[in-house]
Parts: sequence; C-alpha cells; structure tokens
Amino acid sequence: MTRSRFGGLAFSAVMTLMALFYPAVIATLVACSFLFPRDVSPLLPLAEPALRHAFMLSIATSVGSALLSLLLGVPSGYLLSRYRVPGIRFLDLLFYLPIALPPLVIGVGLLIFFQTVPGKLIQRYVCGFTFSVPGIVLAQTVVSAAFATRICKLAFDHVSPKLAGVARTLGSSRWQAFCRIELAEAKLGLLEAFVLAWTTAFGAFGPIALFCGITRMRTELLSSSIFLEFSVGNLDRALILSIWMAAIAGAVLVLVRGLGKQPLW
Amino acid sequence: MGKALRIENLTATLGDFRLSSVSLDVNPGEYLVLLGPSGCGKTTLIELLCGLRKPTGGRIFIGGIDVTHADPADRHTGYVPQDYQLFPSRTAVWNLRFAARLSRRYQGNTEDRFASVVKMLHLEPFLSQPVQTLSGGEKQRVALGRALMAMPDVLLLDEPVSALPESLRDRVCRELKELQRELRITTIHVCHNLDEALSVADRLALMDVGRLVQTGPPNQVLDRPANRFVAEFTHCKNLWRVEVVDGKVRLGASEIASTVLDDGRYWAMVRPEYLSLDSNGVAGRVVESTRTPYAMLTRVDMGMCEASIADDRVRDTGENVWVAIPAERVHLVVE
Repeated sequence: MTRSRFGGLAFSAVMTLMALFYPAVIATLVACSFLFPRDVSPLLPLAEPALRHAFMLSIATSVGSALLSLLLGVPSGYLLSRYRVPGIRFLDLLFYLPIALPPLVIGVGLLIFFQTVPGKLIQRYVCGFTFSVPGIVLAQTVVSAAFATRICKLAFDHVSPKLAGVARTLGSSRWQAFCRIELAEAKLGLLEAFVLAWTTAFGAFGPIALFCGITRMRTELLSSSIFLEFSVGNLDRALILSIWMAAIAGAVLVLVRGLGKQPLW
Repeated sequence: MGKALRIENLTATLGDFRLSSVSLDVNPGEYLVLLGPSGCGKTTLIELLCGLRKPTGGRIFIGGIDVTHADPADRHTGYVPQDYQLFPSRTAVWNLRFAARLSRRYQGNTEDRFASVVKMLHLEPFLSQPVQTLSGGEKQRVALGRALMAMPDVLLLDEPVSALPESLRDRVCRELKELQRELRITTIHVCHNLDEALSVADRLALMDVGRLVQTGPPNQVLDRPANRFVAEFTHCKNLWRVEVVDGKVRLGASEIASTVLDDGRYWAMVRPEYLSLDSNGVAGRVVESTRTPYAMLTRVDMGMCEASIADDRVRDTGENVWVAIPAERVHLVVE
C-alpha cells in the first residue's frame, strides 16, 4: 500500500470514528433509558390527572409558542437575510443573545421586567404573565424565537432575492412576490424553524420554572414533572416521562422529514 | 410614431460604481443590443429599466409614459435575467402561467396566449417537468416564455445566451431574432460578445464604465467608432497613430487620407476587411498569417506600426508586401 493511499484511508477512518462518537453517545443514552428496569406503567402521563394536565399543557404551550416564534422569526430572518443597512450586524448580535444566554437568565430577566412599571401596567391592563399559562408561552417564545429566527434567516439566504424581483416584473405586488415566491421557496426551511422552535419550547425548563413556577394542575409541564419526580427520588416515574418526551420529539422529527419529503435513511 | 423607450440623463450609484447620465431612445419594434465589457453597467441599466433599482436622477419613459418611479409591476416590461431565475421548486408550466395568475395587469385570453407561447418556443416536451431538471437551453426558453406571457411592451434580455454551450448560441440567437420579428416586440438584449450582438442587432449601443459611448446601426459603429475604446471593443485591429498636417493624414512618411479635422495627432482606424495587399501602398513585411473563422488574417509590419489584413491566402513570413489603404475607409478617432 502506498503512503498516500494509507494516509487517505487513515484520514477517512479517523474522521468517521470521530463523527460517529456523538451519535453513539446519544443512541446509548436513549437505549439505556428504554432498557432501564422500571416498575411503573408506560402510560403514566395519561393515567394520572396531574400528569395528564402537564402533558396536554406542554403540547399546547409548545405549539403555541412555536407558532409565535415563527411569526416573529419570519420577518426577523427576512430582515437579517435581505437588508444590508448600517447596524444590521448589531441587530444580528441581539438576535443571537437569547441563544448564548443561559436559559435561567432569561427567566430572571422576565421576572425583573414584570416588576417594573411598564411590566406591572401590562399585567394589569393586558394580561397577567407571572405564574400563569400565558407566562409559560411567553417564556418559551423568548427562548425559542431566537432559534427560529436563525433558521428562517438561513432559509431566506438560500432563496435568491432576484426571484421576488422577477415576480414583480411579471405583475406581482411586493406582498404577492413575498408570499407566493419567497415564502413558498423557503417553506422547507420555515418548517425546520417551526420544529426547532417547538423542540426548544417543549423541552424548556429553567426559565419557566423561575418565571411561572411549578404549580400542579396550573403551570406544571412535563419537563417540570420530570424534575419534581427526580427530586423526590422517583427515578422510575421520571424515566417514563423522559421516554415520553423523547418519543414525542422523535415522532415529530420523523413526521417533519416525511412532510419535507426527505428520506430517513 | 413615438419612441417605445426613452431614457433621459439616467444616473445611478451602486457602491463605488456610478452610471453617468445615460440617454437613449429605442424605436417601436427595434432590436437594440446593449454591448460592453463586464462591469460596465449594462445589467444595472436593465435593472433600472424594469424597476428593480432606483435611479438617482434622470427619467425613463415606456410608451410615452414616465415610469421612472413606477412599480416594476406597472412598467409592462418582460425581464429575462442572466441566470433565468426560474422559480426553482416549481414546474415549467407553473412558471409560464405565473403572470396569468395575477390579476394586476394581465388581460386577454390566457389559454390562447399560453398555447401560442408554448408552440412558438417549442416547450411542449418538458412543460410538466420541474425546472431543476431542465437543461440550460430549456430553462432559457421557459424564462423567455414566462416573460412573454406577461404581454410586455419592452422585452429586456440580460445575457440570454451566455449560460448556453457555445454550440447552441448561434442557433438560439437566430431563434430570438425570428421571434422578435414575428412578435414585433421592442427588445433590448444585453451582451458582451460582438459576434452575438451583430447576429441580432438592428442597432448597437456601446457602454463603458457606466457611460453610453456610441449608438448606431452595426455598420456605422464598426466603420465609424466614436473613440478608441469602441474601435478596440469592435475588434478593429488597425489603430495607428497618425498626424494631420494641412488636412492630410500622415502615417509615417505616407499620406493615406484627407480630412477636415484640425492639425494634430489622432488615431486612424481601418477595419482589416477593407485593407488589401496590392502592388502599391505602404511597404511592409509579413509577420504571420493566421486562420480565423471567417478569413485568413495577415499581419504586416509597416515599420511605424502593424496592419492586420483580411486576406484570401496564406503568406510567407518575411514576404515583402504593399498594404493598400482606401482613403475613404480611414476613420480618425480622438483618444
């Protein structure tokens, strides 16, 4: 075997082993969770009223906040993708901040804001947020909108800005060009943005626990239930809830791949 | 009859690039080729005409109507970009029917027009195919069909054949010209290739560094270039430094023409096809004979400069010859 051929094989082997290490770790964690001996019904989240409430609330709030994140992410991503104006880089940095910040800090920030005069006015005249369901949606949205924006920006980056221009020369208004062409061409990317926002919201714990508390049958989510069960030593119950969360997230990923007509294998 | 398109002192700024006071008239049904090197502002001018860029000054009239600040949808232009910009996740037929779906300006029988465009451009074999699977030539025809479906008053083609293989370009240019004659649609065709321009143009408009340098029928531009840039861009290989003294044009010791221009130094230009090797003229020695697609090109060293002559046979290197320079074909340009 020549030296260059050996070098090529060694390069492929090292890169493959390193690349497979992380998926192997994830697969091992998931396998251990499924195979860990437990003495609890697999239908636990549906069997007990409090857990059933947490399960439904998790689904409802995460879908709601994912939709809100997309609503915010689409124009933000479009702005970051299309406009080259002074200050755009600083704006880009601001959109990155929630991703870089520890999630607990976001929870603290929300608590502090609603102690200020504007925050109190909003709570009095618009909607109460602290320790309430709207607060869960708000906290989840603040965390997940940054991810949605990032993916939306990437989606619009891959759509040539000239397409909208050509559409306008063919008779489209600005809105028609955006909706019929740019949104349509970016739809797979926007779907990914929705999914990422949803998974982020679905799994969020720290900022929600700080901002909304964990009140059974009121602000308790599946993620909070896992923490509560673990903190009182019920590892079996925590594990079942974890498996449910992992299974739901996995099912959504598979569904989205199917909607995007992407092969699983 | 009014002008189909009139541009008055149009200016625009794009970063460091500046389009400087471009004025141009295009007659109804005319095929105008906007010719110039890459980066001279041809695409910028086209984008200003279809409304995708805003000018900093000047005015644009289409069909006598001031459209300088009008929305692209209200200008009635059909724009075919250089890279076609077909809507990539759609089929060819979806792209074609796009303009017809919008109620903003489309009028008339959609199905008749669709059938006519499909037949004219031979689009039937791949109508239902996704545009991503089409070849370059097929994409070009779909993009053209899409623009024609919008019933434009002015057709704007930005380098329509540049992306095609060289073997296809001639044929596509002929088809474009036939289509334009049949539809009698005012067309502006942007390109940087002289052969391509000459194969389709009723009139040429040459641009350089954001300025319109010369417009006119091809023969006029080729035989009477406005300046040295136009002469060089239109492949005039014979650019000689001459001196005008008392109305006589002197190339070294030889007097080659007369002129009414003031005394001074100029550049004289004669196209190779007007020169011949004869029994009298300016003496020289053959440097080389090379084959071009259309003729033999013989280079002759005349001492003070070289002459390129479109010849009818191969000459021996070093052969003594005389270059006959018809006085009426000598054109003087200022630097």
